[in-house]
Amino acid sequence: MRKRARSIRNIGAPPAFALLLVAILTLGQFGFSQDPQYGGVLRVGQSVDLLSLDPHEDNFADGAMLHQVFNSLVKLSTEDLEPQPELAESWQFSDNGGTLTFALRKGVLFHDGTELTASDVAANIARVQDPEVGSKLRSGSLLIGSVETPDDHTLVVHLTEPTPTIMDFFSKLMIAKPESLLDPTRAVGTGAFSFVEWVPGDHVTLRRFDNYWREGLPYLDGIEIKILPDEESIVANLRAGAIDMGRRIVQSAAENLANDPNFEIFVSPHGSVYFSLGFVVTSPPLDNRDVRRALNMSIDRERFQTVFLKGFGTTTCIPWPKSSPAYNETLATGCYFDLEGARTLLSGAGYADGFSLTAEVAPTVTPETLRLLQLWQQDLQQLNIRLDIQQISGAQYSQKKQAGEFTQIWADSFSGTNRHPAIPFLSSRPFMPGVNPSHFASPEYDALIERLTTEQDPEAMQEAAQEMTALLANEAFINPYMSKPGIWAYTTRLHGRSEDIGERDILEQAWLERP
Amino acid sequence: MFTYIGRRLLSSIPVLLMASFAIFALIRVLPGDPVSVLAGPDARDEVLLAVREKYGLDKPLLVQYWIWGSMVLSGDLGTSLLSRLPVARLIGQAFPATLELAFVSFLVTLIVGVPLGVVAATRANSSYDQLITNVAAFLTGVPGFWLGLLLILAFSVNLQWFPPSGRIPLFSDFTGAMRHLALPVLSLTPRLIAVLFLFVRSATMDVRRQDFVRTAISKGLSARTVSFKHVLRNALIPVITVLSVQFSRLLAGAVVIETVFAWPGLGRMLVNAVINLDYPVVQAALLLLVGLFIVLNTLTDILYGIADPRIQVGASASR
Repeated sequence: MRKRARSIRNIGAPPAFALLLVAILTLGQFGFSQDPQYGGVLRVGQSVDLLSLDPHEDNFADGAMLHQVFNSLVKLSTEDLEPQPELAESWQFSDNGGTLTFALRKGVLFHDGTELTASDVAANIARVQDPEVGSKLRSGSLLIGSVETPDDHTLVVHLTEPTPTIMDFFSKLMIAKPESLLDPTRAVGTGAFSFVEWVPGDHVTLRRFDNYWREGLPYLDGIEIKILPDEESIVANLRAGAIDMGRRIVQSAAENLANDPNFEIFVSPHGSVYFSLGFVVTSPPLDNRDVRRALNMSIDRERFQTVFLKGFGTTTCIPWPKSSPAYNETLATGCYFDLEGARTLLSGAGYADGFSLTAEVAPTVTPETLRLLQLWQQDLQQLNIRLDIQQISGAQYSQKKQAGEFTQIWADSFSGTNRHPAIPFLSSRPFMPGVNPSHFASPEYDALIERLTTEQDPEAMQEAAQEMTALLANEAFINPYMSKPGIWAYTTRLHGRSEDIGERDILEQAWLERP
Repeated sequence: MFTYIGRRLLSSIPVLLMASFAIFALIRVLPGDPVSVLAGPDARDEVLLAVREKYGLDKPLLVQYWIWGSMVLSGDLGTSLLSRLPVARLIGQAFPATLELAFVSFLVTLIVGVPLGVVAATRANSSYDQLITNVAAFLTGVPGFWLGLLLILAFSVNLQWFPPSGRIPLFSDFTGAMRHLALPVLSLTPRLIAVLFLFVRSATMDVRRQDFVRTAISKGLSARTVSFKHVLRNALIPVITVLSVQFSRLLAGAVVIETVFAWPGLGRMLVNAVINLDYPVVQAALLLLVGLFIVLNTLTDILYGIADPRIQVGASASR
C-alpha cells in the first residue's frame, strides 16, 4: 500500500496533524507492492544553495547531496539512536570505554577507484580537528586524543575521556578521499552517487556509482539538485513537472499541494529544528529568574502554531523531542500561556509596573522568529512590557551570537537535540557553558554537562538528562517554543526515499516509477 | 578612432583604481563578520582566530587591499570565502548567463521597440499611435517580477509550455536554451520596449519637424525611405543613449528576474555574496561591472560618431 497524504487544508489543530503524521508513518511500514525499477534521474528542488563541496562543513544546505556522495563509519538509527554499520562493519569499546576499535568494511571503493583504508579515515579525523579548516564537526572531534591504524581495515581511536557521544561524531563525519579535500571543486566519497558538477546558484549533478559497496544499489541513474529562489518556486516547479521532489517546503505550500493527487507530502517525524528565545541573564531585569519565567509564560505558543505554522510542528517548553531520554512531559507543557501567572511572578519580583525590552532577530535566516516576536509584542503590552524588535542581517546575528553581544533577547533556532542529550552542550552555542550568548553559568550546570558527557550507564545518563531538563526549565535562559519538522513534497512516482535524524535525504534506495 | 579608444581606456585606469578602493571599503562597512558566516555561529574562538588568519582577514585593511589589488593585477581574482571556489570560475559561470539574458532581451527590445516607435511617430495622434502609447505608458509601470510570476503560472504551471526556472547554455542545446530564456525575456522586455518606444517616438517626431525631412518628402521619396533612412538615423542619438543605459541596467540590474526564474547570473551571485559577506566575490563582480560600464560608455561614444558623422569622437582631444 502506498502512503498518501490526504488534504491537510482543514487541519488546524496539532492532534489532527499528529494523527495524519501517524497515519503516514504507519502506512509507510507496509512498503510497496511494486518491485523497484532501475533508471531515471531524480530532479530535486531546494531553496538554498550548497555553501561548499566540503563534507566536513556539516551544513544544513547540503542535505540533498551529503549522504548520496559520502558515507560515514556508522549511521544512527532513527528509532533509538543506536549506531548501525556503514563503512565500519563492527566496533568495540575497551573495558574502560577509553578506546574504540573499528573494523572497516573491505572492498569499499572511492569514486576515483581507490580502496578505502583506515589511513583515509584517520586523515579525515585529523582534518576536522584542525582549527584552520573551520569544520562544524570540530567540537565533537576534540573527544579524540589520538588515532592508530594497525592495518588497512582497523582503526583504533583513543578518546580523551570515555564518552558514549563519540558515536554521534562518527555518524556525522563523512569520509572523503583525503587528496580530494584539497581541491574545492571536487567531492570524492564512497557513496551511491558520484559528484559530477556544481554550478553555484543553479544546480548540482550526481551520477550513479556502478562500484557502490552495497550491491544492486542505487536504482537511480542520477540526481539533479536544482537551486530555486524560494519555496513558492519549488511548488511551481513541481506543478510544472520540472522537478520530482521539493525539499523543506513551507507549510502554506504543503497545504497547497496536499489536495493534488500527483503529489505526496511527507512530514519528517524527526522535527529537528527548534525555535527559541534566549534571555541574556546579566541584563536587568532578565537577571531575575522569576522575570525570565514570567516572560516564558507570556509566549502564546498555540496561537503561533495555529496562525503561522498552520498547525504544523509541536509546541514545547523544553529543547528535547519525545524520543529523548531528557524529555519530560510535565515540563514540556509547564510554561504554557498564562498571563495571570506571569503577572503574579512579575509582581513578586517587583516589576508590576512593567519595563522595556530589546529583542534582536535575523528574519532572513528564520522569518518565523520575527513573527513570533510580533505576536509576543502584543501580549507583553498587557503586562506593561514594551518590546523593541531590532531586525539585523544574518551575518550580523551570527557575529553577535559568537561574541555574546546580544542586548537582552535573541530570537534563535537550533538543532541537534534529537541526538544524545550531551550533544547540544558540546556543539550548540546557545547551550555551551562559558560561551552561550545568554551568559548563563552555574556550577550545577557544568557538573550536569560533565555527567551527561561521560556517563555510560543509560539509566544514570537518563537521570542526569532529566535533571538538566529541570534546570533548563527553571532557569529559563533559553526558551524553546516550537519544534518544526521538515516538509517534503514529491511526485507519487518516487519511492524508497528515507532520511537520517538530521532530516538529510538518503536516496540510495530511491526509485522512480516509469510513467 | 584607435587613439581615442586608447586614451579612453587609459583614462579609465584611475577610475578603476578609485572604484576598486570604494568597493573594497564599502563591503567592509556592512555589519557582520565573514568569519562568523564561514565558521558558523557555533564555532569556538580558536577556530575563528585560525580561519581569520588563514584568509588574511586579521591583517590591516590597507594591507588586505594591497594584497587583493596585487592579485587582481596578476590575474588572480582570489577564492570565495564561502565555497572556496576560485572567484574567476564563479564569475566565468555566472557572467555568460547574465550576458545571454541581457543580449537576447536587448535584441528583442530593439527589434520590437524601434519599428513601433518610428511607425507611431509617422502616424502621430492617430488611433494606432494613441493605443500603442497608452499601452507603453501602462507597461512602464508593470513590475517585471510580478509579470514573471504571472507568466510562470500561465505558461509553466498551467500550460506547461516553458520551464519555470533554470538555464541551459545557448551553445549546448539551442532549443532548450530558448525555451528556458522565453519567460525571463518576456518578463524583462515589456518595460524596456515601452521605454525605448517612447524615446524613439519622441525623437522621431522631433526630427520629422525639421526642414531636411520636408525636403526629402518633397523630393518624392517614399514614406518608408524617409522614415527609416533619413528620420531614424537623425533620431538615433538619444536612442543610443537610452539603449546604452538599458543594456547597463540589464547587466547589473536583472537581479529580481534572475531570482524569480532561478537564472544563475551575476546579479543573483552578487546578492548572495553580499548577504554572506563573501568579500572576494563581491569585489571581483563589482569591479567587473565597473569595467564593463566603462567599455559600454566608450562604445556608446563611438556609436554616436557612426550615427552622426558630424560628431567626431575624440576630435577635441586630437586638436
